[in-house]
Amino acid sequence: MKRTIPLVITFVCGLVLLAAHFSPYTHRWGEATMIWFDILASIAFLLGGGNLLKVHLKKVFAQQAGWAYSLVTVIAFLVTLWIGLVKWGVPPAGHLEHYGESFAHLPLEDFPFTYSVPGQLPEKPGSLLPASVRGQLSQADGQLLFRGWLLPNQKADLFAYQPTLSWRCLVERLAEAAQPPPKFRGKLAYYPEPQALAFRGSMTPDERTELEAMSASASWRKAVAALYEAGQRQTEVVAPSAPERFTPQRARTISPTLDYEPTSRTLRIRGPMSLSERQALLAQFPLARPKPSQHPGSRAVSQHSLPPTAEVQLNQAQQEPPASPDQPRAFADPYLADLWKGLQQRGPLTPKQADVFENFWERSWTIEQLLETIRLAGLGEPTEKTACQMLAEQQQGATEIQPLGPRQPDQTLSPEQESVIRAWASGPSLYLEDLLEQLAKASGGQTPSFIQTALQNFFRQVPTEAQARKDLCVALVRAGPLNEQQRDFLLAAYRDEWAWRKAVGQLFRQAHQVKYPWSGQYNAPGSPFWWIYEYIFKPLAATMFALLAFYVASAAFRAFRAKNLEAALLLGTAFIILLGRTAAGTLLTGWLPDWLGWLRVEELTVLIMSIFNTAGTRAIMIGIALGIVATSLKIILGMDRSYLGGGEK
Amino acid sequence: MTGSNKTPCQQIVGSNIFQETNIFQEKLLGESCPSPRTRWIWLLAGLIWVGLGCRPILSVASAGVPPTDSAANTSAAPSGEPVLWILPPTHLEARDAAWDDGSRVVLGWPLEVGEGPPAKPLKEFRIYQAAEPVGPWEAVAVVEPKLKDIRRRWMEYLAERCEPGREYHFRLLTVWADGSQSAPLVAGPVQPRRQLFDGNRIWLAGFVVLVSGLVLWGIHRARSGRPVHVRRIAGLEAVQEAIGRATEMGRPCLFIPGIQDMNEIQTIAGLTILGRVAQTAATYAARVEVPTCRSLVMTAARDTVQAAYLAAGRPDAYRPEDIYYVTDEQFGYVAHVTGLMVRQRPAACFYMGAFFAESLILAETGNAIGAIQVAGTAMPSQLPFFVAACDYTLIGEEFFAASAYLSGQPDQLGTLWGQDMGKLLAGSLILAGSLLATLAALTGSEPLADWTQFLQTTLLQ
Repeated sequence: MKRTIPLVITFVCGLVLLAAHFSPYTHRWGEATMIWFDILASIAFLLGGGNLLKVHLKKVFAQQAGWAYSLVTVIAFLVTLWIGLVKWGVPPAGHLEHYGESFAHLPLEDFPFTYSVPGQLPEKPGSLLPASVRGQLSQADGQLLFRGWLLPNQKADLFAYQPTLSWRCLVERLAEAAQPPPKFRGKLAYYPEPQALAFRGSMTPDERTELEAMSASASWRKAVAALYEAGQRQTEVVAPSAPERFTPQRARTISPTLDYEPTSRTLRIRGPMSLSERQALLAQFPLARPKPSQHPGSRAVSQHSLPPTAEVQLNQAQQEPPASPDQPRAFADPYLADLWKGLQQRGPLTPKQADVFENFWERSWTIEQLLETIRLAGLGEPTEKTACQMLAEQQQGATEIQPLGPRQPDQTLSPEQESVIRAWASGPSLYLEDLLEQLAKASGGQTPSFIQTALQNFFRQVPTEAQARKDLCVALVRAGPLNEQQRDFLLAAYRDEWAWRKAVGQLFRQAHQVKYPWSGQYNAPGSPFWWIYEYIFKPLAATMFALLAFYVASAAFRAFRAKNLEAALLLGTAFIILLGRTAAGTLLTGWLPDWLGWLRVEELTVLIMSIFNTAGTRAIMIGIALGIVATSLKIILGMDRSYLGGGEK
Repeated sequence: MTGSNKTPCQQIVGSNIFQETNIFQEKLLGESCPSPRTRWIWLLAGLIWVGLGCRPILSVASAGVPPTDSAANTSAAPSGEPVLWILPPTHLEARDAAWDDGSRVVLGWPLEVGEGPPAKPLKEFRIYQAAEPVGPWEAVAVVEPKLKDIRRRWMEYLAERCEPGREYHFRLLTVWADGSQSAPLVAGPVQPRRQLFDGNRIWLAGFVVLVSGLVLWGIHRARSGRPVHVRRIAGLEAVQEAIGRATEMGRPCLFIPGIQDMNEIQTIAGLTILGRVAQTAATYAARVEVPTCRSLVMTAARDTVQAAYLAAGRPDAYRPEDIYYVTDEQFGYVAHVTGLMVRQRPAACFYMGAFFAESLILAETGNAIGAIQVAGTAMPSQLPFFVAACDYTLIGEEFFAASAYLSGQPDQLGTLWGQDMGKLLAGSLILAGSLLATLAALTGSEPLADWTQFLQTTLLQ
């Protein structure tokens, strides 16, 4: 039996894998077989790990030769295993954490609301419903039933399940029906995978009362109460510094759950913090200044409206040859001039650094870029039709259905709005909130949404003024030395900004309720396991690999000794190949005329590698392939069972 | 496009697709424009071709394109030159691709070459798919006709990534160079179905069956008493010598079964040889140490060695602690094994299995300690290293033949005869392919080129 069972398993697995290769019907069988092998190999790893411990611990306890190496091996094994298994220091996976939401356990069977729409599941024999809705979607009495609130990803999965318009329209109707009450849309959700009721932000007592009134189910009320409690949790941090214009009112504008105490610089939040709240808190610093419209470089002014004489001077200045390295620099642009003066007062700069400084604006944004972004955002897009709209068209006898409706009219920036933007950009400090406020006034109360969206998207990519100065500092340091005062001058604002960012990050992390603590990758960058891998394992492995270079040299020395004709041929071939792979080879025979071009070393190298070497390799490969077929056949048929510990029958 | 001073070879009216090759011009107009340098090749090829009894090389009409003296050439454009071009397709066909996994649908439409004054050259065909006949349509591909499509007046497109069992409708839109479109053609519904057999692998299946049949026939031959001659394999003969040397020197033997798991055929072949090595070692009372890179290999190796000691009548001498797991990591394993070699200085080292960059590190270390070394692998890139650093190397098929060679059983020896027949078959195909490719290059014959292509991409894929 000890031999028969493995032979039977080998025979069956061999046949299944062969069949899976040739028959689409059995692909899954082959995959299942390979999964079983992986499971087996994983279990066997326990055996291997146990064996490793046994062998090395035995050596250590018996104090055999090399026992210290064994001790190091055992310690390294246990430490790595422990850190990897418990995922020590690994942050949870961001895409699973639902930042800004609190979770409360609510089993699916206790979820009190089931929604229905008249319709049937499509007939798809042998096909399972999408995994994301499998436990929630059912049908009965001509009705499609859904327990829970349909999430966007579940809707997308159902859309993909059957692409007919009638089914998609049914899904749309179901998605419309299976939603939380209008007041709670966007705040309340139910996630079937962790079986959790979720609430975004902090729940108010009124909201709690309304939610509890929705169902008399004890589980429901318990979950609502848990969410309310989670939303009342206060978290606070003390920021070492705060943005100049950040006030308690400003904090409450960002979120009613946020609070700020200026005297102690304490930032406080009730309940969890969302990513948008975090982003808004971080965006409290003035933005980097735009590149002047007529940026002339180092020796000319950059004003929008210049008198004619000044323009002539400007043109002349632009045509002047570049300044010599030692020539004193002067900057007409007031911002650059101040910056240059501030740096010069604190110490000299090298000519190379001065060149870097001159290119300061090259890294910045321009008003024209901003206006173009807004213009593009205002272009009308065609509206996307719903499946129900398209189905109605189909039922009305349309011969062709277009998924897109008519294009929306274009929206443009008015001259007043444009002038507001230009004026804001030339102001002393660039705060986005100021611009939005001024635009709202210019637009008669409210800034058009396309402008708001375009501005937010655009300035998300633009650094703050402090970051721009920090980047300048880095660029100057790369070009030459800066003294401490110069560095402080450029970095002081960024240090404050960094301290604020760090405090906001701490608040965000502390206010967050971790949902899946083990969801992160065991080797996530920055984790202890990653550190061990990057800074211990990889250098050690690279060291071992690097030994190969020396071994190749010693092996080549032995192999290329011209003891007989074959060895001499080998030596000659190797010489040509080695030479052909270097620049020297090309130089040596580059003089040969075209009609003798095939004799050039690089050509000979290609010839040897692509003809002789390929032919030889293929001959070996054919032999190997046939050997594999024969060996596999012997193993599948049980003729060769020596690998099982028995050669003869 | 149609200058009156140009030769007929250059007088092609139509879209850019007509200008893609000179061959097309030749085929479409039924003319050949050989360069002076290739005239002698054409002459030689023609002689060979006629000698083989085949049809003329440039028989355009038979390939489905209007012949030179057809009505196409008699009608003329305003400039008085012959005009040929593609007409809008008249219908679209859609069918389930035969013998596949149900993920493909074949679309086909006629590609009529019309005659008369040019109106609008073709730009491209656009293909859309939908779940229902009226849409909404989803763009699938944009295709342009190739020379062979025009020749056979039929164009096909293989719509992939379909879901088996789902209904599909397809729409074809002809787009002309000026941006205008012809009326769309619609086909469907078509329901791709998963077939029992993957037709793309039918030739591979044929080869597997043939080679397996030859191997089984070889076994039958050997069982019926027909002698099987196996040439002497020095590497395997040296096993006994190496173990004898280790015994005399009182040092252990080291056996490395590669660094892959038990799902690798080379590891299994390596364990087969381990059985023989262990049996010889048991007979000589030598010690064999087997550090492994995978846990499953360790358990399999223990069984193999234990059975070998039993077969040698020395079950008491079996030491399971000599076969142990080290690590899955390639260079961690190498560090252990090379350290072991330097410390214990084994008299014989066997490397039998799948090896990668570690092959030379192991073999050179073995060489440095003066061990007699025998290696066997089917990794072509590692063979030169073993050849350079080891005393004996089993190259490719020798490695797989080792089991049969060492056992001497007729069943196993018979498989070698089957392998040889397989090599004969492969050699014949290579010869046929080379001949076909040479003739195709010399004559420019498309049927021959198609056969060569078929041999390369279908038969031997």
